[in-house]
Amino acid sequence: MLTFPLHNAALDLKGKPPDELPHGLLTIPAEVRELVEVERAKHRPEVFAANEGKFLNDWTVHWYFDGLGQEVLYRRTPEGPEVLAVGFDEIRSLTDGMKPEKMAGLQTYQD
Amino acid sequence: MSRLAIPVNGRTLHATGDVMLSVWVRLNLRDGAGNFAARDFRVDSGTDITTFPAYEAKQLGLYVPQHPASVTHEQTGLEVRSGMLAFQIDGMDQTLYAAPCFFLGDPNVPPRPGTPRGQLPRNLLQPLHLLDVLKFSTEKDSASIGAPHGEFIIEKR
Repeated sequence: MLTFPLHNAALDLKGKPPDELPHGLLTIPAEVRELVEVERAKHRPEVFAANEGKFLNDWTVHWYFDGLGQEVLYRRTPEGPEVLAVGFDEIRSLTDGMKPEKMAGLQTYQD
Repeated sequence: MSRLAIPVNGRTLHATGDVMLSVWVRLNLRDGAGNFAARDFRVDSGTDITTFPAYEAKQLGLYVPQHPASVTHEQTGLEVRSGMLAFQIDGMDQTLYAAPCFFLGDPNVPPRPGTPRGQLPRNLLQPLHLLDVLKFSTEKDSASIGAPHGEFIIEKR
């Protein structure tokens, strides 16, 4: 049973520069799985089923980056979000100046 | 396409457990050379005007006025440069739109890590400046399984 406030991972990462923030495939925390389970009861089964993966991916990124003031570029995967770049400069470099075709299919997270 | 339905985004506030809702639209910003850069904007009818970080604008080759205005941005305390954004809406046709924009902060210096969230320049789209050419609405269609929190609809007039 979740009790609020939750101590999310971002609270321990405040003030770190983008290159010291999490990159790569992020593990979906148990707390995020519980938060997503709370959503299950709010939606019709087919709606929840269609969005469960999106919730797990997006809310995991939120768990790690909430309040850090850094933009995150990531890809949703069945195992969890894969963080490709953190911060404007990293994202710009990876996507050759944010070219729309290089951003296609990727998600960004901003506070 | 002349119509775009964007799922409303929900995020849990870790402090309280409430689900916070927002709408994000990807705009392909056109620079001075005619190239495009994809940036996600939060749709915010509460902001007085569309805002965008001046540092990012300069890095992306957008036109940013050299001198700041004589006012500062009330919410963030940042310097203001008054300009325009030209953009296409990702997922719609190639119509080019323009909206007045405040470029916030120093165009030559990125915000330092650890800057409080309330003092950071943000990508905010004020849709009311586009009402001559676009129609905005919200709906929650029970038949739409991809949008559990509803949809934000953008349509060409």
